[in-house]
Amino acid sequence: MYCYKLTDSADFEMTYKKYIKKALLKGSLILVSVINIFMFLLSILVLKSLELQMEILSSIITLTLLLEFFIFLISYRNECKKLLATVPNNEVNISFDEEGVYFESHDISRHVKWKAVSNAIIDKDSLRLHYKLIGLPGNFFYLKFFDVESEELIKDIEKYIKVRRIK
Amino acid sequence: MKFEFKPSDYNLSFREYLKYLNITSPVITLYLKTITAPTLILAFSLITYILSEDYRYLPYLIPFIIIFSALLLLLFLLIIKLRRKKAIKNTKLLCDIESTFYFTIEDGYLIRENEFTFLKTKLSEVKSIKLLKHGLILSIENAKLSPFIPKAALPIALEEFLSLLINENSSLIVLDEFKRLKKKSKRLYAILVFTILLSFVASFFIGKYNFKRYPLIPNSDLIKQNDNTYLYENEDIGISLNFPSNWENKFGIEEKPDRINVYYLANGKQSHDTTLLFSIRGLGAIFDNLTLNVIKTEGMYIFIGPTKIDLKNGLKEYIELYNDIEKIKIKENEYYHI
Repeated sequence: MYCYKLTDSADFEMTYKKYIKKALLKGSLILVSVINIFMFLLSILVLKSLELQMEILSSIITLTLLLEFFIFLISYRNECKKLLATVPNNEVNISFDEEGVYFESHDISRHVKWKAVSNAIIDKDSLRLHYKLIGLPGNFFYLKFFDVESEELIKDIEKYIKVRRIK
Repeated sequence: MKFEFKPSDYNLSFREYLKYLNITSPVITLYLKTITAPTLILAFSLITYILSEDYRYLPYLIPFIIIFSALLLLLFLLIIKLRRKKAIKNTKLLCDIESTFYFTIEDGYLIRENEFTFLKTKLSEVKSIKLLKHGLILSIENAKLSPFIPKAALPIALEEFLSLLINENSSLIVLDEFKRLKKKSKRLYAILVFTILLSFVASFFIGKYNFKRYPLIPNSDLIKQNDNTYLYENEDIGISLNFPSNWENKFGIEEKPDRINVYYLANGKQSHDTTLLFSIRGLGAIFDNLTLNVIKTEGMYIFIGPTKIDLKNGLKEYIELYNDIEKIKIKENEYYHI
């Protein structure tokens, strides 16, 4: 059984902040870019087919992009603040066996079987467990906040499931 | 209290739950916040710009647009209805859709289990209950868990179930998310409809009043002769022209250093239909043969007119005036110096 200690340390808060910001930025930027490219192509198509002026199109698109940029900055900051305010403040004991992963924390115990784990990923200094479960997309842990050496923990997981390492 | 259900047996509520998780995820929330206002502005600008080009047809276009939008909406609703009827099965991303979830609520604990997971938590850990139209979500924030229960799968009435949980956990918050989201989407649709309507109105007025205005000399500024013709004198070029009496209030003159342009004015005022009747230029002037052609030559001057016109109003009148151009003669100015 391994102990994973949450938010009590300022170090964790900093690291978690970094993770949240990165994850949020990546996902939302991809979505916003996709819709922007789609809207841009659609606008060009419409204006080209109607033989309208490109100068007006470029002004409209520039205005839209500028507005999007400012709204994104404000909303991103607010969303990060909101997410960081909900960081759980407790300890989780994690263990692995042939059946699956066990999470024990104050008043909550959980067990996820290996057949419901779609991926176990070691990404630099973090462990990610992805599930194929309704309402439980996955768990994220920073290896340095476990009470054991990361290699020891990874070896233990590898006994039961293939771990993908991303360098 | 014990009860069980299979998500696949509760198609509507399970779809609603997945949709809720999706639209309330931080990434989607941020994405929607970012694109809503710019998309509305883009839609407004494009619709206004495109329709203002053909503002005259707007009264005919609006019923067509309404019918087209209604058909599109019906098609969309039909697709949603058909999709809702489609049975949900396990996917690569979710393996427990067809499994049975067993719920037990007793001794202040909630236990949820199926063949893939087991969850046991104190009821005091359930911070809030989110009510959807067909189901409810128990929010266990500390573990970032959101167990879902279809309303129809509850063994007791919803109110009874809620009061049971509130008895166990007095700090439990019940949030009517269905009402909140419905109100939010209604507001968004209202803003969208308002934006489209506003763009229709804006395109009409912009289209009507946004046209090129020339610095024209009206015939009222010219000298009316005894035979009711209008005399125009250009001191810079040194020529005079006599416009026929039937041209009254139908034309305007633009003075340029090297030419005189005479425009047709539909209804006696400048509008989208203000069109060049003829232009007087020096004999050696260079002009675009594709857009202008020579009407006649007089002495050192040529009369040139457009090869193509795009008149929505007054075409007949324009042709009448155009045919009169032959009658307009150039006179060299005579000045008497005292």
